[in-house]
Amino acid sequence: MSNAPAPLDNMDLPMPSPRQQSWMMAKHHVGLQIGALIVLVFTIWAVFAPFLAPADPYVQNLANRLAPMIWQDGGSWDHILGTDGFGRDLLSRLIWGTQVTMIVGFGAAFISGVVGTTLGMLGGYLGGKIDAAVIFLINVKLAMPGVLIALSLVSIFGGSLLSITIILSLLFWDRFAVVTRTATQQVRTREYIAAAECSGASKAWILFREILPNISNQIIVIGSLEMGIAILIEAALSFLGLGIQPPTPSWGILVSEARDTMFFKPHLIVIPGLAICILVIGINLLGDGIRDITEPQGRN
Amino acid sequence: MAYAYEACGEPILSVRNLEVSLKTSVGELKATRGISFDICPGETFAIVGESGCGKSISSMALMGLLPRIATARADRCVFDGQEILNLSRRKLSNIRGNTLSMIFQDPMTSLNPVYTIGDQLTEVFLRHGKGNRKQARERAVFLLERVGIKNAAERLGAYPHQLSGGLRQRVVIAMAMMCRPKLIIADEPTTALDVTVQMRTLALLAELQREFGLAIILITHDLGVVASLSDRVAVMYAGQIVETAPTRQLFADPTHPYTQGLIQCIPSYEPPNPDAELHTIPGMVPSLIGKQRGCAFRNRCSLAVDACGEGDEIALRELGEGHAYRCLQPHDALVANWRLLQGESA
Amino acid sequence: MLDTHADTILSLRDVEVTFPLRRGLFSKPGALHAVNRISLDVQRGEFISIVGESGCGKSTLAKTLLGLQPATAGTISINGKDLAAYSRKDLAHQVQPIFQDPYSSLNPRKSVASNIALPLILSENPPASEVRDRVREIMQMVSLPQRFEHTYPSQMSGGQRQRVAIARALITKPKILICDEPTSALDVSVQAQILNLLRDLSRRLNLTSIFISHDLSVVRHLTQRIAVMYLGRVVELGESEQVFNSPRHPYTQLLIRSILPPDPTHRLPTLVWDGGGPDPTNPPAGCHFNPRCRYAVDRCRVELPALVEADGQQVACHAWADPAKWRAAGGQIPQLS
Repeated sequence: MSNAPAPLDNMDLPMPSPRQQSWMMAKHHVGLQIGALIVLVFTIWAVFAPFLAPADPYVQNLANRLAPMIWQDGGSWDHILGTDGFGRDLLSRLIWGTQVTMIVGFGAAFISGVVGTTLGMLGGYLGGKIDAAVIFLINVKLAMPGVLIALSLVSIFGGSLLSITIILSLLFWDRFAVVTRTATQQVRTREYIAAAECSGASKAWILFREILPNISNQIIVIGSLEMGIAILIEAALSFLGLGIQPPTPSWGILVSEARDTMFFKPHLIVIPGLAICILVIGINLLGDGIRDITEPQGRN
Repeated sequence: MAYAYEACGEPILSVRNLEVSLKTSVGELKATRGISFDICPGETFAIVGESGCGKSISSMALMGLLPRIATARADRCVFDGQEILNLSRRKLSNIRGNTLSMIFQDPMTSLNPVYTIGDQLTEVFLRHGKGNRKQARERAVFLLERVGIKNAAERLGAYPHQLSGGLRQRVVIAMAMMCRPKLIIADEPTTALDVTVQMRTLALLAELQREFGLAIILITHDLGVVASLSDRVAVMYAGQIVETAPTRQLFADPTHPYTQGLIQCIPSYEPPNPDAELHTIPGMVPSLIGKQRGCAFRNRCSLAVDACGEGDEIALRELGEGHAYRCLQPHDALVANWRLLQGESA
Repeated sequence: MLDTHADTILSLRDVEVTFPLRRGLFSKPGALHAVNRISLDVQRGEFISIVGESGCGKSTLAKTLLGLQPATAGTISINGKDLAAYSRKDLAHQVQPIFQDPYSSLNPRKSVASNIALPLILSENPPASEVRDRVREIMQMVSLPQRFEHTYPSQMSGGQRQRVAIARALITKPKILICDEPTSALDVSVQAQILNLLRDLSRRLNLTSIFISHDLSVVRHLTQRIAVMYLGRVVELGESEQVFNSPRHPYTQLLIRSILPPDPTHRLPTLVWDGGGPDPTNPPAGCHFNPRCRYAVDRCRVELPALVEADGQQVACHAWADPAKWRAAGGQIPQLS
């Protein structure tokens, strides 16, 4: 075999493909499955709210205020979870509220993710003065009393869905920036980056085609975390009356509106509270699960 | 028995059928399939093999350093008269660093960067109650000088990052010697070092061993290191010892086809024929996940026959004088194969 | 050998790479001369290796030749044209790298085929069908079965990954291959496969290969010429067999003595501990090797020896510059044993 290379017919693949491995791990990952189920159910609610909600969430019926739930005395199929203080159907408001809550949570996480990831990757890859500028911006952000500023911005710009989403996203980009900056610095030293540079890859190519796919699982984890927090803060703002304005059925507003009746109709406050809690737990379980099954290092 | 010299007497470490398995996402991985060996006091026993052959994980099992996903079992694993496998943390820490110590591959990560080397050396000594602070310091200075570090008393106040890689590995060796161990497990002790430093570190280990009557388990992938330092060798492949012999015997009469291939693969020290190809072992190590049958080397072996894939494992055949190999072929056929290989390279 | 040969493909003249160094906030900024005035001519189709221990500047030199690290002084020309004058994309057709660690040199999120295709897509961007054909052609050349196309690096062994890296380096049909310790992370049996493959390919494709290694025993088999580097400088340069059989520089001799042959009758030499690796940020005055050299005299501690020709070999050592005078002054000529 002077010229022919060594025979390699018996070369086997020692490992299954990344996708197969992720799938195998997902099958045994209970947390991921629970999280995915919760998020899936709430997403269906949000997307198909017009078809799923039994009644119009805005129609008041003062004659039928504070109707009991179906399994309580006097409950009826008309209002499965009863009605609120204005006689609006609670289940319908909850389902429509899912839509508002998920738009705010996902929107805020997405916008802050784009902003923070861009800054973090630029700082981490380019280094030098740009990195110093990114670090400065992060430090300024960390030094600001975020929620207070959010409150004042809401009072200036008003509590529309869009303004709340944008204002919340301003609160969260820093964690994306910190994490992606560190991750980028690690990936940057990899030799495949040098190999791409040797072939004339542009900076944009390196950032988006080589580095971004390799830090995507960190972004997903932070994204899920921030989405959960955004939902909680939106609820808190709405509860304080500074978030999305009534009568829009956000979950925070449902809780807020139930304050007056919380001692004799506790379900009005418990049900939307539980919904917030379950969705946030579900999102976090899903994020952690995705990290567990996609981490390339965790494979071997 | 092929596990030790007959003349050895009471072994310092005796291992029978050590099995380590790892739980992975794709199934159970048998890192070792029943390893047996004896270490005599004062000898250097080399375990040589390529990455993933199970040489490091079996030493980690002995030291109780296995990762959580790994489990170890053995028929016997007696060190200095005491069963050490799966010992409680407390009992293990009485032995570790004391009569049994370890030298790792990377001297940078085996020293703690926030303590001075003096602190780290004396700490081992004090923890095992070998004496007071003053004695600890004296022993540290003595050993640092012994491993060739000048101004040892001053160097006690140095931090690991202030030393070069070679010096750091010397400190690690001194640290392993602090409590007068009976056995040192050295896992690739020179792989991270420069070639000129590697030679000196090996020479130092050999000297210390003669002087203090240590036994050393030398784990390495480098047959050059094996040849220059060890008394006996075990060649591992895919979790099994495929050949064991006194070092001179192994290089003079390598018997298992894998051992033969491994020796032939080394870029030759002798003037090569400029057009000769380097010898290679075609193919690659099989997956160790799931149940193994027969000889693990058969898919890369030019002498393989159908019977190689049968049975649970190939029995160890003895050639006398502590030389044994795990192959179905008779010794004559294997010797002929070795001649053929040498002819090809010459 | 420093005359520009007719078929010189790569030519280095007094190349320097210096990194600014600041030890403390108020201390004077220093400089690390990673590569110090290196001149070298490489012929087309030659297989040359650069050998030295960690910190000798061999990897920095590789980065400089790849255009990843600009030289701070001196000129590098490829095919008679200055390296700096090449656009990145043209340079990709001249020089390609093979790196040390096959676990870090492939993008784990991309399939084998797209890892290999990357330089081609970046520099030529041909239609998808041509990319596919050329990837298949090159995979066959490095003996990777076609069924590996859509697999991922994490599924492969070290040797297979290094084949992918070689395929990626060759797909743009470069003239020069820079191999930075391509086998030091591999097992011995796999190392031999990769070395054979590299040698075979560079002969078949008439490649010029620069092979960087810390291990003399690996390169002897492969290369026609060897340059030995110590602290940023070339201390010895010559034909491979000559360097091995009659090494002149004491450092080369030390490297050769440090090779551990697989021979149990070979005893470890008893050597005095010489302090080991030097500090590249603070090289000793005179000949950089003098603190570790047993032949060193006062002159070696003051005057830096130049690289001079001696019997077809170039050596930077006072003893070899004028052996007769050296002996007359009471010096010993460095010997291998």
